[in-house]
Amino acid sequence: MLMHSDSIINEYVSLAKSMKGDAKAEKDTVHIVVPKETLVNTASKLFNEYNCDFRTCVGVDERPLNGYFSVTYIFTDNKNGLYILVKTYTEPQNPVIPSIVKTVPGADWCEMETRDLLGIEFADRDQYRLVLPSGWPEEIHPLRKDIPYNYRPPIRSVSEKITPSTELGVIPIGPYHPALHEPEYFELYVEGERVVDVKYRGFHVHRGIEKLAETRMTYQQVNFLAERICGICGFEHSTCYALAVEKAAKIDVPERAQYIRSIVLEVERIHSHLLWLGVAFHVVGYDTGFMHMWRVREKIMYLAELLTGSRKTYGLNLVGGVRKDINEEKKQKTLETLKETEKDFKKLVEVAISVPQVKKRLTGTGILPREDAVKLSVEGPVARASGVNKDARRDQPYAAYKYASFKIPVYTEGDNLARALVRVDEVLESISIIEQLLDRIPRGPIKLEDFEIPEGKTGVQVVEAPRGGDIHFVITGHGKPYRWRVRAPTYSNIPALKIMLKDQPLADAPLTIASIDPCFSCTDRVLVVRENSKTEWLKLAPGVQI
Amino acid sequence: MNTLHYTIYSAIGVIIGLTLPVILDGVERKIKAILQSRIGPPITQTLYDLIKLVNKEIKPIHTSPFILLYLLSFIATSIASIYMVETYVYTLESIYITLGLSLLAVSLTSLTLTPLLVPNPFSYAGGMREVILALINESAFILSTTLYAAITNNLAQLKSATTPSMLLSITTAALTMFISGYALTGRVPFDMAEAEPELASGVLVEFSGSLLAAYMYCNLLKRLLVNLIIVSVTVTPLIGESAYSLAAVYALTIVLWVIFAITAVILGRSRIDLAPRTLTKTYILLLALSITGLLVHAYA
Amino acid sequence: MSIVKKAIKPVEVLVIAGKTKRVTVKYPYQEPILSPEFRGSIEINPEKCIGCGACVNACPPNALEMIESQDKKTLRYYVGRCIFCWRCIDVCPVGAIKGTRNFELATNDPLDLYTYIVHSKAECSSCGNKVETVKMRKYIMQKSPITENYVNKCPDCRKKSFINAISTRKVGFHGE
Ligand code: SF4
Ligand code: SF4
Repeated sequence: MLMHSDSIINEYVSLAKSMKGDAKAEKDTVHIVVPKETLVNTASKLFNEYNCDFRTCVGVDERPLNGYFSVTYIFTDNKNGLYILVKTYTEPQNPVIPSIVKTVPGADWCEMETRDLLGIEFADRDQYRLVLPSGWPEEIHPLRKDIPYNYRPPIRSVSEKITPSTELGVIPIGPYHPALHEPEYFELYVEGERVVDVKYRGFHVHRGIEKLAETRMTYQQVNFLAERICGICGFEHSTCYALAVEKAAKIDVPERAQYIRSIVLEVERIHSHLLWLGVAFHVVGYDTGFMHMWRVREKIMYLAELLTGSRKTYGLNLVGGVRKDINEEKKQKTLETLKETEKDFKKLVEVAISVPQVKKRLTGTGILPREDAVKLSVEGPVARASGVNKDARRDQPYAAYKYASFKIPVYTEGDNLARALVRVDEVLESISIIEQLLDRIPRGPIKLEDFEIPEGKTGVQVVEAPRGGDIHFVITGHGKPYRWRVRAPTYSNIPALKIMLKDQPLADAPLTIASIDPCFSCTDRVLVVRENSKTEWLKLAPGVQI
Repeated sequence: MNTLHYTIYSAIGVIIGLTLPVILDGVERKIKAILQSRIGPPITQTLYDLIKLVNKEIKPIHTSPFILLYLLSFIATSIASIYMVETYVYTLESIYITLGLSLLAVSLTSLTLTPLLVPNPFSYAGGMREVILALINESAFILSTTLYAAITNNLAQLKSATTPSMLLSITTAALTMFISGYALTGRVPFDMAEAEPELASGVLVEFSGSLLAAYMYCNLLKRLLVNLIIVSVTVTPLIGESAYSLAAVYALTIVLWVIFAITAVILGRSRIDLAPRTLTKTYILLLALSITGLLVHAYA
Repeated sequence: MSIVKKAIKPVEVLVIAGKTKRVTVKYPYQEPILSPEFRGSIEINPEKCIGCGACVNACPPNALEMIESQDKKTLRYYVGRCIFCWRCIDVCPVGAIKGTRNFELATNDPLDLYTYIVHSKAECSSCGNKVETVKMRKYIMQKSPITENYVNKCPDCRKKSFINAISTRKVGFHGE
């Protein structure tokens, strides 16, 4: 960990004091508690004056503990590697807290999610249903502790079917859409071949894993559930969860385990970026590039299996360490594979980017200006392609990243090409990180056998996944997390699509949507509405909010 | 050779011409697979696909009964066109290539219009894209082919064929012919009508069973027809009249198919607002050069 | 010159293709490419298993379940839920579970996906309830011979008599 100088922490403490609150620092986390009245002010100070990065917010039903609901806004001070948690309580009868959306636009979704799942109202903002399906009863808030995990409310299902129109001008795309291999629902309003407006609707298959972990699973089992949040970067989630629990419980994990985690995290980043590049080539019709990129990726997949026992969903992490060691033979094989991959990859990218159609369609499309990137708190390659220099591996070093030196590629163009190039550069950096770590890996045990996890402690962790920062927030409980909140990077990146898609040709939309490397988990539905200069051809059955 | 021989050979040629595309598409898929380091499907895969499709039921679509008629008319005109081109190969009379080209125009029109008959927005949008491309490519193809055939056929009269302006005229015409011919075959980067992901297979979306098989077959036949015309126009003047010229033409058609297949492997897909613009510019430039060259040659 | 070079750069993909060997295999006619570390489904050795239930507690997706009845305890493995994590192998005290490299699990009969291991339960010598399995009792006996006195009892009665014994010992002649 970085040395956190006292003066900086004191600044945050005095900020809390000036806001009639209190603060307490624990390692790299500053816990601030403020009364509701000063919440907006505090958030605005942190976001605008301290230039903290907003990550997400978490609602907790603390009624069994202290009779209140709480909401915690998670900020990070990337310069000093600090987590700033701003917590406020609200009484259970009529839980309302002021919204910070006006000052911190990135908080839009997480506030609405908290409203849906915990029934905490946010004042001074527009209210809409984000997560729960339209037929779900108003008064049932599934993350409240008095709702059992297997409770099924009577749902009056509301048809969201789009009436297919035979009139020319309406192009419904979906429900299963071949362009986007994952689930989402966009409405692109088009004039001719040009997109004029975008609306998004997601969360069709909210899986309720947070509830599941808080009720039915044990600390060690949740690792395996966390890994299944994403089919591509699952290991980031399980690492993030394990690190958050370890931080809350103040467990010191053996160094060797941390090295192995970092190594496997980078292996996963490489395969994820290769996968994305392949998909991007496929979307622009360059199938040969796609096939060869995936051929190169296959070697990495084999490597992942060799290091962990599985191509995907590695099952490697436990709270307290990892389950599989890297021996000399595996180390040699890894180095060999990386060397081959690097050579293949460089050559292939060079050729692929030179294909005129690929270059033309990537350059200058789907631009996200820097101001918007900052305002919306976007994550990962999307942020770095728009000139926002942030990467949790350097800013909040976790696992073994402090032992490796690496560059963080930043581009300022903000277009699809920049997002592609960020990923290309990161693949090469990842290869070098793995080589360095394998070279320096210390001997020793790979997991702690005996440790205690005290109850009621809070741990927050950011892990830089291929798509951006994953956030896991854990409050420990009895044998299992009391509260576990997950935020994947796409959650922050989707709102930015609206800006990227606007005024772009329709044919670029799939590429631009793909360019944030989205990771949704529900049904994939896109609706394109063609606008005949004045008339809006929009045919939706009741039940769909637009 | 007498007329009877021509007729028999040409008939055999037509039959080969009708079956060849199915096999050649299999070859194309194999080439693609090899260049992508895959095993890929067997060469007969396209045939299997079509047979399987024919045996499946057709999902009824609300469209005019003309749709099958369009496809049938495409096949009929294609046969006629193949026959004309073959006759041109034997006789070297430019009237036949002109006939073949006009038949091609008719057949392409019916194929392009088919998706517009289907009342489905994807189909419609894809069809519109196809129409835009077809308008540009067809005219460029027919113009350049005629031009090329006219120049090469009259080489004897034009005598001094080696002047630079003459060469320029021939090469630019040939280039236009190849590019527009390639674009007409609907391969990458010009497969926007059906392959662009946001359109969900656009023109194909409502077709099923034997109707889909017929549509796909027609598209393959279109490729063959275009290839055949390019080859006949380019090489027959060189071979001259010979009993084997038809066989040579077919052999080279296969070669051209393979070349096109490899080209498609190397490229990515263009965008619907870019492709027509780029193509139009290229064609106008090339054809202008060609005509200028010809004029300079004739009057200088 | 460099312009031409740039223009023909895409063609180099053919060189790449030429240099690489074919990477796909004719699965299922050829062996799939698996690393030596690959984790597949598990096999439970019914001879060794003592029905302790440790694996059931560890299994994240509930692929292993213990079904209780009057005098039987059945360990059920449903491979359809199994995520091949091998946590069960880690925790089994007697090493009854073996990992395999098998992942080709498609079947026409869904019942093929279940494996059952049936244990008979041992009767408690004092209350007559049946709680743990016969084999479990044997295992405890082997591991700690001291418990011989209580081994024929169910855990509840065992605890009771243990506490009784201690309290008697501590308090001495309590009754007098
Ligand atoms: S391998 Fe994992 S999922 Fe499968 S039975 Fe064992 S513990 Fe359960
Ligand atoms: S842990 Fe081993 S002995 Fe215990 S029930 Fe499972 S398989 Fe049987």
